[in-house]
Amino acid sequence: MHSPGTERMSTHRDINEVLPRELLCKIFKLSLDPQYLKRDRCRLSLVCRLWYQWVEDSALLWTNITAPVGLSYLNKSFKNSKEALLELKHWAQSRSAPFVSVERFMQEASAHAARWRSLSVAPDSPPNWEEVLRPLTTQSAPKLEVLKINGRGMSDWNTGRISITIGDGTFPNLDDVFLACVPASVHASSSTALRSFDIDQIHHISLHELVGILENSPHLETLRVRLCWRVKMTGKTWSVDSIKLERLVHIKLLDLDASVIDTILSIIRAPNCDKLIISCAIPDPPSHMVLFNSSTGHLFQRFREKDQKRPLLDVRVGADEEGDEYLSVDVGYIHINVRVNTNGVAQLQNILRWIGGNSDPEGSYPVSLECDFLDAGYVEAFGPPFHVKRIKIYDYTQHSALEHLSRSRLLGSSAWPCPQLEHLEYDIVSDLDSRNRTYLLDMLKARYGRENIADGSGKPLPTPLKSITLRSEIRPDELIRDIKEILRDLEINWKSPEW
Amino acid sequence: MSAAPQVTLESSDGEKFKVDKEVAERSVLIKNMIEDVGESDNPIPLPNVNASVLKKVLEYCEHHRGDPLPAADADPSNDDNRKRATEISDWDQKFIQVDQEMLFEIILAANYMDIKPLLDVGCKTVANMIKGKTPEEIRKLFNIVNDFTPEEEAQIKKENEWAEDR
Repeated sequence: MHSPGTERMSTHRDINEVLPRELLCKIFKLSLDPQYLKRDRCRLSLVCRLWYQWVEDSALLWTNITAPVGLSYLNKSFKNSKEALLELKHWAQSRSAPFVSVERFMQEASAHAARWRSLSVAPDSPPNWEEVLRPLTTQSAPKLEVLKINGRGMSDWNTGRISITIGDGTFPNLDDVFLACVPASVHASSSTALRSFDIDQIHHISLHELVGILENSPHLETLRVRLCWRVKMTGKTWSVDSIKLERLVHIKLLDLDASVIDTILSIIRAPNCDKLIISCAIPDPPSHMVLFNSSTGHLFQRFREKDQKRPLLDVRVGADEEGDEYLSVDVGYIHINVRVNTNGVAQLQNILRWIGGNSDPEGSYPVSLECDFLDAGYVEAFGPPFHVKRIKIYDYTQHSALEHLSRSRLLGSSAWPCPQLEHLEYDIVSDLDSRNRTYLLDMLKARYGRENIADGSGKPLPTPLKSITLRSEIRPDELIRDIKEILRDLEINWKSPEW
Repeated sequence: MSAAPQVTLESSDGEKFKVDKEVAERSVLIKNMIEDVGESDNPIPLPNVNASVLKKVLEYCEHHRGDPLPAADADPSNDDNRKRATEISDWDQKFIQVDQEMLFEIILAANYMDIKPLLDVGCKTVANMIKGKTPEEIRKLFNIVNDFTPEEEAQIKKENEWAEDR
């Protein structure tokens, strides 16, 4: 029961008599759980009159303003935060308690735009985007640093085009922008403070606007653009002087037209790029395909510095769930994923030329090649400075790849394909039938069999195989025995399938 | 090899501590005093810190002597600093496992001597003691008298919609 003035319950000194208000308020701030601000503030307020007064009076305890809360509490938060900068967050949560809609939240917040430091919005139902975004089009927020709006699943593309202008005149300190599925365009009217610009499915922004942002954002460190329909070439030649982005280290251009990716990578200069991730579809035929051209050599600046380490070139060829062929190439900090139709081998050669042409001419790249399915052309694509050291294939992989690896013996060629192959991984996905096994054994005999070594032809031999890894549900004892008969000293590993 | 320069600190109860200047200068107060007064053999008086607390503070400074100094205006509530705001390193946790009286004294000393990282460790420790506790448990922990009437308490709960919302 409550009994004001009751005796103290422990031998400790009253904390209020020891620590000054300034320090207690700092402690209060640290004790607040961002998920439960209202509950935690109330808990502190209920301790004693002094704490109640301090909580109410301490502006810094009210600067994190999050929904869901009722309208009165929202306005109390704005009032109690006095002149302090605000961290605003309206994030989707499934709750039954009444709370302020995102439109109302933005309307109330609009009056305090001068104090915004961060604004983070994620509606939990399709909102009226014009109302939600209005403060961003009518107000300036000179202190705003972070803007995050996530409208995934909430977009109404029939909404009229809403234009958000960033830069000196509106949001001069805005350095971190994340927009996803928001029916708005963004453009820079003047120099921006952007360090991170991340847009995902912002279908109203044009390539012209995007390039304008790059031109006006010399401090940019991270750029991510994904699946923006209107970011595309308009047919006319793009004429922009190169845009120097010395601080840009992370670039992700995902699910965009190849020509757009090429344009962006060609007009920027990012000599400190430390991560480049590209994904796109390659048109077929690739008549205007200029991706991976010589203008993009600046991206290799740090690659050349790291070249001494001879990074592994990791190449995977496969098909996605829709049956589209994809080609994935990872080398150092560069990750390329392209969907190809009938020109996969040509695209691989294109990428290899790009990497080889921008690298140390005396460099040598070990290659790991994984073929979900392939034709022999993928194996043939590799020549110096790329040396295939490891191949992973599946038993449903077209057998032409195995036949190709046997080609020297079959066709009497003087050179072996993948002469430096050292490790072979063979995944037995289906029951190993005798035909598949025969292809594998024939290849091993052709390349490494004793009769081959002793044929006296004088042809250069391939590097001895160091290991074979077989993956299957059941240990393929018969196959292991047959391989051992061909390569007695070979290390043979058996592992369970990876999936 | 020449020995590292040292300074002498004098606690409120007259005990003297000779420490490396680099260690003492973890305190912005001492660093400024040394800069203002210049090199001197006279002990630097710390009239607000007794010997047992100063010994503990110097143990902290010695352990963190090589750490980068924090930015003066770093706000732990900022997103960038939030991770740091919720973490206390293993060594610091062990260091700060002291009785409540000493904990408060360390916080006061860190505040007076302007040693921000130590102040943060102390405040985070008290904040962690508060987290998850009811008002009654907080009162008991810190020996605070409940001076609310039931009506006042009900009013605060109403203002904050205690039961309805979070």
